[in-house]
Amino acid sequence: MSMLNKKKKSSTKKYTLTKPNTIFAVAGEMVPGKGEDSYYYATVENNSIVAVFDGCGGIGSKRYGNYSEKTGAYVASRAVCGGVKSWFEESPRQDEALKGYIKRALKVCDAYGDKGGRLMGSLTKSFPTTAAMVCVLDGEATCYWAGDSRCYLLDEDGLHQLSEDDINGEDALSNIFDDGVLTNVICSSKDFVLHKKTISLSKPGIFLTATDGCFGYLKSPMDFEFLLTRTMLSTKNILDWQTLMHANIREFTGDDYTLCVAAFGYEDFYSMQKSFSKRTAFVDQNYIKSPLPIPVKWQSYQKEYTKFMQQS
Amino acid sequence: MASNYKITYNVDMVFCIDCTGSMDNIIDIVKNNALNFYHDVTSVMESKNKHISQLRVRVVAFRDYLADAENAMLVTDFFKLPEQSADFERCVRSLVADGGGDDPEDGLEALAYAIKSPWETEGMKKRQVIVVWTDAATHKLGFGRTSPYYPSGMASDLNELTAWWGGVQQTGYIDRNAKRLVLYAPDAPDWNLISQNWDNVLHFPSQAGNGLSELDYNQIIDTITNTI
Repeated sequence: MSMLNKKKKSSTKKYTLTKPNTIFAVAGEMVPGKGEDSYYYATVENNSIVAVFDGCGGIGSKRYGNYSEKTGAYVASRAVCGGVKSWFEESPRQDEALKGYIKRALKVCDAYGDKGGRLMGSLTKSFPTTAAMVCVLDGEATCYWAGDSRCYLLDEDGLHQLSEDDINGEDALSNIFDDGVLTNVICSSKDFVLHKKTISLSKPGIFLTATDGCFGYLKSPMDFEFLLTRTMLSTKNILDWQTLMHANIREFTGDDYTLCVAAFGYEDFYSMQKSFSKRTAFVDQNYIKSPLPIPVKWQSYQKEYTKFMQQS
Repeated sequence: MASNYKITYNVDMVFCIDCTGSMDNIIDIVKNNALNFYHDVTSVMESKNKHISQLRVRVVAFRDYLADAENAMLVTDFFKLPEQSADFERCVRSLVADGGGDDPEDGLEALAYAIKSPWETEGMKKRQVIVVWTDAATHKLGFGRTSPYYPSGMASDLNELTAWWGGVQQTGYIDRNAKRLVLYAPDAPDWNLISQNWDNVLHFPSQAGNGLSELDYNQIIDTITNTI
């Protein structure tokens, strides 16, 4: 079996990626100290990565005495995050090696995790976590993911989901409501698929990686786009934008939340805001204030939203 | 902007309780566990901001069709909680461990009744949970078919019951995303086959949950309440 599930390159006119204008994370825990999300972002010369991990608290709820009574989900998201960090620092050009780094991190979890506990069945997995990563290397962006954390591109045309949810569900809207079961997740007890997709930008844009605590408690994907751009337009600088997003997500979410952001091709924060002002007004008018039912609005919204998914 | 928007759950639970004579020494513990279980699930869900708009619980008390005739299967309607919590408690408290004949019991027929429950199909999100407490292996489905009290329309074998539960590709009688099955049952036929082959199953191999640690119990509750 191939190490990575390769998806075809999607491209129009190529826009060379260099250093991000800004790179940061917004993260919060439902219960302080017990959050099962983790993240990593870094820029080394012209290479960057934004990565999020969401330890699966359902199937990974076993607690390990050797890990200070933390759950397998808690340990897994951090261990896999460490594996990805090592890969980015040591051999980012060998993307076939990424899964190996992740597996080695999980092997260590297994080796030191106590073997107690008698629970069996398909609802138990050892050290399960999702992953969503966008890695910019040599001017090209590549997404890697497993589970229901998402990779996005936000540009003047709107929000585009780049990853495809590993969920037993219909689409990005139904996946919010149906509470669908994950069909693929990183774990130590079973093989998993690490999806890959290469993306070429044709204009300035912002790559985002997000755990479901950021988008899964909103009414629709349209609301997530509006949250991102409305908060951007309401603030004066990156730090304020970060703070406002944090406050907004915390207001509605019922889960730990982690959002990593890397913007490319903007002269400054003002030019970034300017490029999103028209689109934000359009989204507000047509998808937020519009009294039409959400499924109707989703019908018209999803063409642009799924543009990159359809190209795979 | 989104502060007034809350995701809510409709939660249905079916408790299948082995009421044969061999359960005599643990039936009171099982009754208490059943009464606490729904409360623990709902309070953990609420603590995780998963608001419950409707909660219903149903009881299937089972024995052995050939040995116990008309007393082989007691199936209640759903009790709506908290409105009917006194009725629900009265029902659970009234269960008596008696009969059963040989060692295996008709647990699969009880599970079939549970799977075919009139589940809530409306609502934003749903959880449909079946919990089985038993100290015995199962008879093969249809073992008690010669009993005049054996139900018509029962799954003919474990393969058909598996289809009723459904899988990744096929939908059964229970919502594929909402369903969870918790087995407090021995590592014995056919519970072990179900544990190994059905999706969304959590199995604590034991005599009806005897010896369950607090750690394992919390893991069960967390697994049911969290998204998987």
